[in-house]
Amino acid sequence: MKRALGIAAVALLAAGAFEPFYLRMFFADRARMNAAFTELPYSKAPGLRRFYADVSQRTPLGSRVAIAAQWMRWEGGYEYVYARAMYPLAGRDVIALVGPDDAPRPLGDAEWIAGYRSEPHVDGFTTVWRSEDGTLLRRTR
Amino acid sequence: MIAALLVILAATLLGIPVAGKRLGLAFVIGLAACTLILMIPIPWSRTWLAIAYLVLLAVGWTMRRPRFERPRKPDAIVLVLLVVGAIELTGYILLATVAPLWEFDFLSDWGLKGRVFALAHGIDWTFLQHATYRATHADYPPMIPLAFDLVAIVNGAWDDRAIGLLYPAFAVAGALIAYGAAREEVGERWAALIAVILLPLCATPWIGLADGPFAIAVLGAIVLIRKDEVALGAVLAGCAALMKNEGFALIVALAIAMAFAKKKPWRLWPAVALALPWIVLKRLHGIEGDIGQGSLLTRVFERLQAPGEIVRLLGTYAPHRWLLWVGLALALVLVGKRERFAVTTLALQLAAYIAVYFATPHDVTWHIRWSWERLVTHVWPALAFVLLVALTKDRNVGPALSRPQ
Repeated sequence: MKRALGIAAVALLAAGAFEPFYLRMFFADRARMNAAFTELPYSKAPGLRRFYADVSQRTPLGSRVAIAAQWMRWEGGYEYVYARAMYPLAGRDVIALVGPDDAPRPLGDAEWIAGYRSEPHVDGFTTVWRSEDGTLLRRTR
Repeated sequence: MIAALLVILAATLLGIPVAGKRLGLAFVIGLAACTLILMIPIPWSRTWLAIAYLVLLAVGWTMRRPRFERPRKPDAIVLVLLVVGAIELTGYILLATVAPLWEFDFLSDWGLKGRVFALAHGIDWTFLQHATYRATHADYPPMIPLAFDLVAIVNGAWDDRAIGLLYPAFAVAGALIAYGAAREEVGERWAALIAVILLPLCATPWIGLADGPFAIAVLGAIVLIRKDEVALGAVLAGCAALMKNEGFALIVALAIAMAFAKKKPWRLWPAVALALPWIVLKRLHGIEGDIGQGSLLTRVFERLQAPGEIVRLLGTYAPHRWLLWVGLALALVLVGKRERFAVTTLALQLAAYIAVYFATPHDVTWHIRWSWERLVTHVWPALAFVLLVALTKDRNVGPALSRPQ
């Protein structure tokens, strides 16, 4: 009985540890997976990944970029857009315009405003680039 | 790197004279050493990194020379198991490199810090001091982001697809540690089987996060200290503390379990010595974690009065791998007592994680939902290893696969 239970335990551990998904990778469409996984972190905001890639090309390292969006409530979509700006815009100071308490935060000395699917009107800033995914504003004074 | 590790794994299992366990450990410790080099103010270039690493290697060599083994005749069963492991590993490599790393925690924490440090050519303390977003965790230890930077330095540029290769490398390191350690106790066939069983547990699905590498460090620490190789085991525990804050829980858990087992816990000092610089540095730069924020004791007392909700959430969000759970439970009943030290350490480790849920300043449901599934996997390779070794040492089970001498 003990022998059978011991062998059953080894078999259960082997079967339980086994990860069939890694075997399925041999038959997966890698190009399709690549496209899906690349977009996955940004999937709730279509075009967001492409927008930040564009913004990153147009703003220098070390600059201060404020993030605006069509949703300006923290848990109503703003956090999603803001949190996903930090990695593609690494090397820049990424500024949130809303806090977790939904209170507006000051622009401070931001030099740029990246507006996802939005074009904020802010004194002292002018739109320097726009696409279907959003706009980029630059401080003029 | 992957190719080299695959060759090493194959060579080890085929009995070619390389030291399997030592090589797995060397990968983890070597990576930790490289990341420590990146914490000192040297230029971030391949040349400087190579010079600094060679100096470290020379010091290490004089302190402890590796032992090589005599070649053995390859065994057919081991060969078959090697092929099974290689197939699983190849599938994992395909996954780890299928796309730029996609986990949110990579983009907001581990990968973000790695990329910022790569641009700054050092730990960017100003960034960490201003990283107030809750998922960035400025206080987390730096080994994993710096390991990403190592890949970037060797690669010549930041490439978040190439970083994915670190994860199969860690999985191979885990399998090598398991194989080498098990072979000393249960023979090469069972050891090969144990390594193949453990490989997918070492191959974390959370590529780009610290949980997989951390689980390998836990495995190494437990495997070594269990066999009374405390100094090297403590170094592995120190590596764990350089990867995740949970490493500090591991050091405390090891100390308590060693005290119970009369193993002189103060011999864990290398773990503390490795963990200490980060604690001091983050204090000096005013970087704090979020768990202690606000009225911690009030939160704990409130949640202790109704612990049922936390218990329910732990059940809901635990990984739904029922075969593995049943296997672990059955093995614990059968042979758990024989592995009291390892089981105690890992139980204390999990208990520390659960205690944090009672203290968290965040919404408990949110915290458990987004962490418990990963945290549980920290103990799986080590727990499965000790239980499998104990089961196969059992005279009722072991002889089935033993190789005739």
